[in-house]
Amino acid sequence: MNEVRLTRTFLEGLTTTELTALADSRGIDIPPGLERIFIIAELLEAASDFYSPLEEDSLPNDDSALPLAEADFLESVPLPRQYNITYIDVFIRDPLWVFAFWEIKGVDKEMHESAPDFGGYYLKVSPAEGEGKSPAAGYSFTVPVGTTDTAWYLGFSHSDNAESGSCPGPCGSALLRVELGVLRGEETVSLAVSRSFRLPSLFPAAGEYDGRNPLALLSGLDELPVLRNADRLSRTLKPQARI
Amino acid sequence: MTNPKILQQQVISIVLNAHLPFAGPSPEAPFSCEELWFFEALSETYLPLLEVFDRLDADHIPFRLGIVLSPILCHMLKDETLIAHYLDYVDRQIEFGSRELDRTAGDPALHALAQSYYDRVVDKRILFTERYEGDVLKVMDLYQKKGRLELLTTAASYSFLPLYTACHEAIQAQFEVAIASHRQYFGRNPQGFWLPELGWAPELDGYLRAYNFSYTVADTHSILFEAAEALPECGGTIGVSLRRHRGSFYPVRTPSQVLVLIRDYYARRDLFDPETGYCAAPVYRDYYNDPGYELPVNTIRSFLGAQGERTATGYKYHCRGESTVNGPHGIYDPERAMLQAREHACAFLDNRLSRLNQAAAYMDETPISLCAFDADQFGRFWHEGPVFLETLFREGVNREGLHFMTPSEYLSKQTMTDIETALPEYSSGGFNGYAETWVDASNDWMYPHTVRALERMVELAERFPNDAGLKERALNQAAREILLVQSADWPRMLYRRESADFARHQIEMALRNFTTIYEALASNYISTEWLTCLERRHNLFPGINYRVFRRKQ
Repeated sequence: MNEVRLTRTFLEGLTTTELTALADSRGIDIPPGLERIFIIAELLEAASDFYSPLEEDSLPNDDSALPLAEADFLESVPLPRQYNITYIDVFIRDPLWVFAFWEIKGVDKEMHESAPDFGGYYLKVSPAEGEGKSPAAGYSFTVPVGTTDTAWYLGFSHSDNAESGSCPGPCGSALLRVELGVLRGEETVSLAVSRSFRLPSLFPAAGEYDGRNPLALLSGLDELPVLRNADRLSRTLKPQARI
Repeated sequence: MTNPKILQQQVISIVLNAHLPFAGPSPEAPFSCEELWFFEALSETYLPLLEVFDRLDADHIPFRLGIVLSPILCHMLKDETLIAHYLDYVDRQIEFGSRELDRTAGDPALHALAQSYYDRVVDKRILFTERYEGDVLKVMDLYQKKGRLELLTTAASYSFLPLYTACHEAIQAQFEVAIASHRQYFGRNPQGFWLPELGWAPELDGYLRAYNFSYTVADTHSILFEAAEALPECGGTIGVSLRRHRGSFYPVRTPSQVLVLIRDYYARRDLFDPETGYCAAPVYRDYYNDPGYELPVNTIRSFLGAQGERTATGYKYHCRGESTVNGPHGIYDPERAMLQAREHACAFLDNRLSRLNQAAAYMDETPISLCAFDADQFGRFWHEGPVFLETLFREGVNREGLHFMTPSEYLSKQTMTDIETALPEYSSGGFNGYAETWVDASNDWMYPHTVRALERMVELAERFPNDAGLKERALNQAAREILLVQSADWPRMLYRRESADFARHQIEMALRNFTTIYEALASNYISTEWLTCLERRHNLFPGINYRVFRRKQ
């Protein structure tokens, strides 16, 4: 008997009962009452583990394929792979993570990487201009990044973000920036610098909120479902920076 | 310590955020699955809410409510093709209902439910087409003019604004298009600006003032975690006095003099906590259990999507009940469910009043409970939600000292000097309270493209300041596409893995469409046919002017 190849379209045509039975037949544990979209997601995930990479190439790719009608309808150009400019941008994700993404202009990239003294690229986090006298003045860390990397999540440890609480940390409320650079022999060459940013506070505002302010407690201070420490595993698969 | 003077007055302000992801009218017959979200929200939330307002108004119940009408939703509610598709959908529900009456004839409980749904769908069609004349916005505006509702706007394409603060023109466009849209539909400027997903960054303060908004709403931790120092670019040190912070019970004033109301965390938890929230009660109707997902294909053919995928019919027979491995949930009992909703409304009021009373003991001002929810939780996902809301207002009449107020009504009664200056912290209503939902391994691939496309849009607006004709059409469409890309809906759907294929498709297509126009303008050639098709499909903001992306001197 041939194995049925599971696609989203096929699964969305099945009843919820059939989906549950299919999951059961494949040894997938489905909790009672699970919504059908999650049953479908479980089945597709299990199917992607089952097929070999070679077979996957022949499967319809639900993530990227467009419906036939849409493909006929539109004649849009594909997205650029690169924009051939050098830049670095940062998005603040939360008090502990910043998403940095960058590009190095093709001709410059080729020039650096073909040089005999090329030592790789790096990201350097340091205080922004004007922060020289702040507690964060000496704070910085550097992360080596690969030649094919274009984005990293930069992790900041718990103590880095302690400024707003009772124990001041090195970066706290300081403005930071990320520099993209290249190592050439013993020298570092700066390629691009991000906008400055400040990490959100991980702690309640001040001593007033350490449990003594009744209005803060009545507002839910102790129960808010917000990020409170660095122990939580991130969903990101990218590695945390070493400091 | 108590203050009897203050105990006499407590304020609850309910704000419902009405927004849906953009679903342009589909060329696919009979409808796209994404259009179904709009159909469901219209049938199950917006129309039932209007009915609640009608009943309360007829009974002279002094209800007050803030409603956020996103520019995208306003556009969809006015889109004639989408409305025609909606009526076609309702007709198919009526036709399906007549077959359901036959199918369930042998089961009195199911049959009674089928009959009630059938009657309801028929009534709803008449209500929509005749009483409301197919125009929900007009009725909302009517209640605004009566002083019952306050209508707020939000970012044009419901963008998660904290991510785009580095691009001034991106934020500027989100504000300007939103205001233009609100003026187009309601003939006036809104006082309140709803931050999409409650996404706040200190840099937004200046924009709110620049566009003359009086207030906004931020999540609870934005003020509890507020940093003591302001960003230099936000006006320097503000000398904030933390001692007088009053948590979520009183607004704060930003350095730019914008008032920020803080969401009542417990109000949301009481209702929508997945484990303990009222809406999880077993007696309530189960949204996800629908015969469209169970019956043989030949009986639900009119509810199959373009590629044969099953969709909901709206005839939902089961309550949430206790989940069992083998059997379906119990049969839904509307009377029991409505009774439960009324009891929950009373309990909700008790909880709010209890906390407000406790807070009042530590304050000289009138405390507020700002209860902010997604509108489509009421009716669409929580079927009994409209009854809950109606009961709140009816019961509120009997609670001494309780006033329901719109946000601006409450703020107008406060003494400005009583309101402390503070700059709320970067925050959102998303998972874990910050930007994780929108910046994650599942969706971060979009941002390098989005940021570059934004830069290109600004470049186009500068390069072609006075163009007309076909070129202006192309530029306006480019502006629509880049706004569409920025919608917070798509990365959220990717993060939650809900309709992730659709979300990815929307992002990619909008980016590709934008890039096509960008390159076409560079080569001075564009296919009129292609552009016309795109204008029909991504037809949001018909009056947009691409110059909103120009740099301001």
